[in-house]
Amino acid sequence: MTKRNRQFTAKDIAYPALMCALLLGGQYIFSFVAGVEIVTVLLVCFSAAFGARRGVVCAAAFSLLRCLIFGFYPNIVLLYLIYYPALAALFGGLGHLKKEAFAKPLFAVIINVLLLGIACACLLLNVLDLIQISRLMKTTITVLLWVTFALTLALWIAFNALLTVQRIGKKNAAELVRLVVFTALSATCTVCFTLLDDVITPLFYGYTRGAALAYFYTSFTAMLPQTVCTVVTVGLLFLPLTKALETVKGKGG
Amino acid sequence: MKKKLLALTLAFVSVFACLALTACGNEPLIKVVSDGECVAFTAKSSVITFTDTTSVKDYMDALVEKGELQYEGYNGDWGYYITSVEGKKEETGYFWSLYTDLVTIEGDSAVYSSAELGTYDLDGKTLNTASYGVSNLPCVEGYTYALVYSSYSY
Repeated sequence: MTKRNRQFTAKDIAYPALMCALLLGGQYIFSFVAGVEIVTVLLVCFSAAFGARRGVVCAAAFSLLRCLIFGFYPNIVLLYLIYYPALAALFGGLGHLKKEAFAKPLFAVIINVLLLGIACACLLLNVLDLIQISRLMKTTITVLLWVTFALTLALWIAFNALLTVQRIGKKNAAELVRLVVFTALSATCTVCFTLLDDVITPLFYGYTRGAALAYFYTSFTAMLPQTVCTVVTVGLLFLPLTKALETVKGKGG
Repeated sequence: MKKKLLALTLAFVSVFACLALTACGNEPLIKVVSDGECVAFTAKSSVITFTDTTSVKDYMDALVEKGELQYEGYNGDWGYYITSVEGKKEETGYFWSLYTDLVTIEGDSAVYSSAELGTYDLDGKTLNTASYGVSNLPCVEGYTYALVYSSYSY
C-alpha cells in the first residue's frame, strides 16, 4: 500500500485525539490570561512531527469541540475551521522537509519579505498614527507595535546572520535556521488569523463599512499580543516540543 | 406670648423647609428601567474626578464604591466583559451591550459609538451602540451611558 493510499489507523485517531485534548485544556487555562495562547505552538509542533494529515484531523476536531467550552458562535467556528486546518497542513508539509532545505534561496526570500513586511507595517502604523482607536488603548497599542517591531527585526537579523554562518560553512546552523523559519511563519499566520476574522465577522453580521473599519482597528488589541506570544512561544518551545513529539512518534510509530 | 408663638412658627417652618429641600440635589446616580434590563447613568463629576484616561469601568467602579451599582464580569482579550448588572446575569442568547451618546472627542480620531450598529431610546435621547467595551470606552462628563440586556441572533 502506497503512502498516499494509506488508510486511517488507530494511531491516526489516537494521536490527534490526545493533542486535541491538550489544545482544549491549554486554550481553556490560558483563556484567563489576556493575549497568551498556547494553541499555535502546540499545533505547529504536532503537525511538524506527526504530519499534515494527523495535524488537520486534530485541528478540525479542536475547532468543533471547543464550542462545548466556549459556546457556539458560527462566525468563530467558521474562522477556526478555515484557519487551523490550513495551519496544520502548512506546518505538516514543512515538517517533512530536511533541515538544510530551509537555507535555500526561496525560503530566504519569503522569510525576509515576511519579517521585514511585519516590521515595516508596525513602524508605519506607529509613526503615522494610522490606527484610529480609543484614546484609552493608544498607549497599549503603541507599546505593542514597538515590541512587535523589535521582535520581528531581531528575528530578521538572526535569520540572516544564521544564513550567513550556514553558507560560510563555519557551523551547521540548519536547526536554528529552521527554527527561525517556523517562528516567522507562525507569527505571520497569527496575523492572518486576526485579519481573517476581520473579514468573516463583519460579513457574517452584516457590518457597514464604518463598523467593519472600527472592528478592524479594535482587533489590533488582540492581534499584537497574540503575535508577540507566538514569536516567544514558538521561538522557545518549538525545538524541545518537536523533539519530544518525534520521540513519541518514533516509539509509537 | 405672641413673640414666643412667632418664634416657634418660624422654627417649625425652617425645619420643614430643610427637610423638604434635602432631597433636592440628591438625584439618583443610576437609572434602572425596563424591569432591570437597562441600567443607565449620565457621567457626573460628583462621582469621580475625570481625566483623559477615565473609562466607563472606572466610573462604574466609583458607583460601586458609593453603593449605587452592582456588576460582575471578567477580563477578556478585548477588555472587560460584563456578565451581570444589578443582579441580572446574562443567559444563553443574551448579553449586556453598551450604548452611549458619545460619538467623537475633539482632537481624537476614534469613533466611540455608531448608530449603524443599533440604537437605544432612553427618555427621548437616542444612544448609539458603543464601539468599545466598558474598559476601553472613555467616560466623559455629561455624556450618557447605558447597559442594555440584549439578545443576539444570527
